[in-house]
Amino acid sequence: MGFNVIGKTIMKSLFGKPATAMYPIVKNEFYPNTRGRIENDITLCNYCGLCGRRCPAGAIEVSKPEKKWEIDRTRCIVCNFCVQVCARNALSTERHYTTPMTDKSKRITTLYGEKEEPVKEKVQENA
Amino acid sequence: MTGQTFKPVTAAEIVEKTKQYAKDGYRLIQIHCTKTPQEMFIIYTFEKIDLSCENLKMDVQVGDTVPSISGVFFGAVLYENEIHDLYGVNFSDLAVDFKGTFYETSVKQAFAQTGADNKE
Amino acid sequence: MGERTIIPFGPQHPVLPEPLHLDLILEDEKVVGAVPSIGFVHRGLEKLVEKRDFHEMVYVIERVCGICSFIHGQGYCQTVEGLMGIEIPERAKYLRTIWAELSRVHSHILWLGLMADAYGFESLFMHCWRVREKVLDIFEETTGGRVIFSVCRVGGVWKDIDNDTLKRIVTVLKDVEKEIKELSDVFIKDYTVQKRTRGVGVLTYQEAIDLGAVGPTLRGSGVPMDMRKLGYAAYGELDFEPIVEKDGDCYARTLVRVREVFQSLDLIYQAVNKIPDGEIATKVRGNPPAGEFISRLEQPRGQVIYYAKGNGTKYLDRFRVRTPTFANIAPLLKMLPGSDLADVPILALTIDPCISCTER
Ligand code: SF4
Ligand code: SF4
Repeated sequence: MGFNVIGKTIMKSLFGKPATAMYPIVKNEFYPNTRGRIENDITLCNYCGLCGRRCPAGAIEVSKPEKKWEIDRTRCIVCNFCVQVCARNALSTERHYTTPMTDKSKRITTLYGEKEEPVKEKVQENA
Repeated sequence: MTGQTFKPVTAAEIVEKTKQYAKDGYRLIQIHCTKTPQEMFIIYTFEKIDLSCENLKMDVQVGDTVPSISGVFFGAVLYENEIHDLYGVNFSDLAVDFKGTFYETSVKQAFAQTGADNKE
Repeated sequence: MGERTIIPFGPQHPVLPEPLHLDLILEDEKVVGAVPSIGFVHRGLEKLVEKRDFHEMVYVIERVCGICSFIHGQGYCQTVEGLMGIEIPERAKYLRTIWAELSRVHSHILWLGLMADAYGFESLFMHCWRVREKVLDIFEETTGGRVIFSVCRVGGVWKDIDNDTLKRIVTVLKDVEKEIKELSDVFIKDYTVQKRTRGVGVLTYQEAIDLGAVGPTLRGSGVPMDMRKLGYAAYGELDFEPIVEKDGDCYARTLVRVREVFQSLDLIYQAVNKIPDGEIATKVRGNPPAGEFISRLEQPRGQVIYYAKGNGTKYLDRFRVRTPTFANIAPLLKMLPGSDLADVPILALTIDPCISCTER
């Protein structure tokens, strides 16, 4: 009996599809729900700062006069709470994770709203 | 849900009360300490096999010495050492006394400060 | 009587990825005593409750532990809801139950894998974790996170699982069940495994009760205590009995966990059949009032106790988590004396220690 079980497992391992994926060649498929990283549609944002105040990790900084929205990606725990509290639905959770970084200064992403015309969008990955 | 009542108890009675609970078929499931700006107390929770549970509440202060109940329930050792290390309440006659090395925190009695003491 | 030696076990030991330290007092090869020390990674999360408002705190409490994270979130919400007197919608209760049981399935499979690794059954370890991956995929699909779900909120849950997805989950789980059945035979029937586990580290019925053992450690000693019987969330409406084994040794504890995997799967099937339609969250108004609330839940590792004290503001005065591993350390100290040094890793594993829980 014991042999049958092991025989089946051996057969499965020999002829079945491997359980793992060849990672860099085969990219992982994320689900639509996957919480990867937080994105802000800066055209919708009115810099109320609610997301920053409610963030449990203190990852978001908002400045109204400068029209600046800034997130520290290494502090963010992707809990999704800022997305839920934003009254203007400016925030969303992207499916893809933050890419690994070798340079610590890359951890902060800053978005500036257009000063006069708040229609156009200017995205700047901070240096 | 059962077990939402907190019966007051004093440090002098606690060992006797615990023995009584042990006799009645209860077991100790937790001890914890709470400190707010207004008050500070220790809560003992006992539970029976039919899942009913009871709490005892004892007022203490930082630096007080309270008799340990680890002679009745050995498991109390861990909770009492924890309270000693984090809140600075002393326990006499501990079955195993870690003498403040149970949690090696950089601030001694880290939990004894309350929100009012260290506002950001 | 041989000479006494003290051998340090941990804080870095191959069998546990987490820092648990035991000073083992040995006489030749026999353990005669053990002194634990923890606190290497104590984080003081309980204290953070004074600085995070009660909605945000869910996300902090969830991060107490990576394996039972959902039940921590659920327990926190349940305690605060109890304090505030909120009744959550039926569907939310069922969803919480389903996620909690899925957590139990993946936690027990993970543990079985670790146990296999501790005997030296490396490929069994691999197979267990391969099966577990399917459960994690369900989590990712339904909640968005593989480890930390962040779906619980005070007043309900954030995300719904639609009924088609629920049906699909059941088919995936039937697959998992078949595979676990195959794998569990090794744990139950294998001669070598039985040699390592039978009669090792016996915890008697009375000891288990007095020392405050919880969860599978307690039920492995024949005590039918399971917090789910309190009927929180949807457990009151589901049909199950606590799983109990008499012997109190490592084998009994393994058996309890193996059987609990199937029990949890069965609970999920029941919940999927019974889940009502409707809202998934109620609106929460105001702050937690002054008062205290204690709730007890069953985690994969055993009973967990939450205590919350409100003061009428949006910050709680105190939130306390008594994690199952903390309660199981005392029984572990009882099991160790009398066993061989070689059995210590297995004994330490059978309480399923989760140090990150303990060091919240
Ligand atoms: S809460 Fe929304 S609108 Fe307010 S600052 Fe944040 S992203 Fe902008
Ligand atoms: S996802 Fe959570 S941690 Fe990250 S920025 Fe939003 S609120 Fe803060």
